[in-house]
Order: sequence, then structure tokens, then C-alpha cells
Amino acid sequence: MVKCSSNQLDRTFAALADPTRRSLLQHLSRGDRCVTELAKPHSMSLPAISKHLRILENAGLIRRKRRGRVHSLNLEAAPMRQASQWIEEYRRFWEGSLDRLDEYLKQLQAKEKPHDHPQ
Amino acid sequence: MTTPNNTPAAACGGREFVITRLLAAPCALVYQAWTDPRQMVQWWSPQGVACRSVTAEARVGGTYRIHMTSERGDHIAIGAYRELIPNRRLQFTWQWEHYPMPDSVVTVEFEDLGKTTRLTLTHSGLPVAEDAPDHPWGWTSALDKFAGLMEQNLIKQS
Repeated sequence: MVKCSSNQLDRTFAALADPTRRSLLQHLSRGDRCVTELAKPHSMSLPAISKHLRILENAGLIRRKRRGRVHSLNLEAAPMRQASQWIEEYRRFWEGSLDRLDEYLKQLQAKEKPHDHPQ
Repeated sequence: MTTPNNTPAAACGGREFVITRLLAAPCALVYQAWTDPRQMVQWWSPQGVACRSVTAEARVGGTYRIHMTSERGDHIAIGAYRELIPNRRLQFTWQWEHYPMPDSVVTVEFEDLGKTTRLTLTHSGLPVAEDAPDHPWGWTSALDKFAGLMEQNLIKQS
């Protein structure tokens, strides 16, 4: 398993908390992009996009490559996976429990039905 | 990239996630199932994990202890109630006994829709562990769908 410090995970979660940044990550998941390409669909200014990208970079979620004047960005999947695994464990716990709650409530009501219409 | 409806991107909003369920039972019944230990023991734990016993003192400041077992051993969830508004809202801290971590917080909201109830569960302040050890349930092999899709895209590129 990839070792990951709690600071790293904190940064990853903070970076993922913003919908614009999640959308940027989705774009980057399709391939490397330069900053202007990323800014276009978001109709945001370059400085605004750059700020988001810096947060993603500091969180270790993306990597910046410089080709002359062009900065191209690509995705680093490992921290993302690490962070989402923890969320996923708990999500599954509750989804599974709620499945059983749903079943339990159905059984409970089926049992109680005869008493719904007292003579 | 196509995004599934229950996209973990939305669920990953920081160190918390939200689950919404429509339950085919009146609100009061659902609330009871969440606060009466005799009922909690009937459903509290996912498939493959058995809920052995539940003690719960459902009042603000009261504590609960939920003893579950899986093939990996005992898992005991403990915490204290922070807020209880009958048939509307429940909030409690969540921690694993023998697995020291900061408290996380579970908030359950019940919306009365007559014969059905909309339940919204938010688990926030999720623990961040040094070196991210295995979660007590040991499900860490399962990748998050979002991260999984990203990986697939990365593989396609290379």
C-alpha cells in the first residue's frame, strides 16, 4: 500500500472539497492539458484557474511539466485513491447497514399489519 | 468521462460524505429503529458483518456501543449522542474501540413523507490515519469508482 502521511491526506481532502477542482481533475483524467485548455470549459480567468491548480499540485493530485513557455498538467492518481478509499470504507458500511434497515422495516411492518385494522 | 449517478466525486466533498435513502416506513418507525437498542441490533452492520449486541442511551450526552463481528474479528463502534430531535434529527460521534482515532460525526436526518421517510446520513470528520492503515473492515482493496475510472483513463493514455 502507498504510504501516505495524514498531512497529505488532509491536503487531498481539502483539494477534493471544491467542485471546480473536481471538474479539473476529471478533465485531466482524459489526458494531459495545458492551463488555457483547462480554463476554457470553466469560463474562469487564468489566475483563478491557476489558483485551483496550485492547490491540486500542493495536494499531490497533479504534476506540472514545463515545455518551454507552456505548462502542461497531468494527473497523479495515487493520493486520490488513498483518500477515497477511506471514504469508500465508511460509505459501504452505511450503505450496507441501510440496506438491512430497509429490510428490517419492511419485515416489521409486515408483522404489524394485522394490528393496523383493529376490529 | 461518463460519471455514474452516485458519483463518489460528489460523495468525496472533503472528509465527509452524504447518503440519501427513501425508506418505505413512517418517520416515527424509522427513528425508533435508530434509537432503540433492541431494534438497532437487528440491522446495524452491512452484510457479512454480524451485529452481536447494542447498548445505547439515546439522550444528549448518552453513549452507545455497537459490537459487530466479521471474519476479521471484533469491531466495536462507540460514541456519544450530541443531538436528538425525535423523528427529525440525530447526531452522534463515531469511533472504533481498540482503534484509536479522532471522533468522526454521524448526522441522520429524517424527513416525514407520510408513509415513507427520506433519510439523509452525513458522516463527517472522517479520520485521517498516519500511513493510512487498513480500515478495520479490511475493504481497502476496493477502489473508489472515481479513482478507478481515472486510473483506467491513465492506462489508456500510456
